[in-house]
Amino acid sequence: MLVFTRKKDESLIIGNEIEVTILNIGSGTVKVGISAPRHISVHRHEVYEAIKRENLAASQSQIPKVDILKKLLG
Amino acid sequence: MRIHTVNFGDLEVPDEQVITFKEGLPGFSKIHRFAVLHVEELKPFQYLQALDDPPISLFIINPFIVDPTYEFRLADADMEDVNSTNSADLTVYAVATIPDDATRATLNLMAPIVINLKDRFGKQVILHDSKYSVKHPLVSDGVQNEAKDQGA
Repeated sequence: MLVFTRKKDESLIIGNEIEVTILNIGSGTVKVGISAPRHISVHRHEVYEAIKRENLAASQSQIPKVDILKKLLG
Repeated sequence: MRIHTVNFGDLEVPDEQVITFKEGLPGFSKIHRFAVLHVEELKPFQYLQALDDPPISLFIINPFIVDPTYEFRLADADMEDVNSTNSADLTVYAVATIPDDATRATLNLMAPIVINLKDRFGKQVILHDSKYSVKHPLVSDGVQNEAKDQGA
């Protein structure tokens, strides 16, 4: 992992197209601005992980259980 | 193409039903080709079947059946990712997670599957800052309790 020290309003360039700017530094939080091409998706790590976990759990669902649900949904 | 599925054995999927997910799905980023299988016995659920390895499948459902007020705005970048300029070409599904106790099944309304049926591109869109959860109950508490009383 690369580690940089940055001040407010300073930024980093990743590759040729991605710029990460430190917009604000609070107590315990920083506000980060990211400029990236549209095809680069940027997500909060914990949100992405939650969706990943949910997809993995969903892939374990089985047909007999769907039959029960169909009755519940009427 | 011919594929092997866990639940339906070998299936023939016509090329025109193959949907490309350029980025795969979170957790399954190496799977780029899927097909929506319409299985009469599973209605109102459908099956999102991976055509690449691992051959996973997900139950999907029209989210508006469960929450008629469900709504979100699709970002321009998401529209581009499914090669669409017209939202009329898009179909929305939500992925269902069905645990051992099926009455506790949930829908992922935070990350709907959006499919451009015209050009056959799909994406699992992440709705940032939305009020929707990855675990929206599929059936209400009342129905859950009723089902338990009946031993479902």
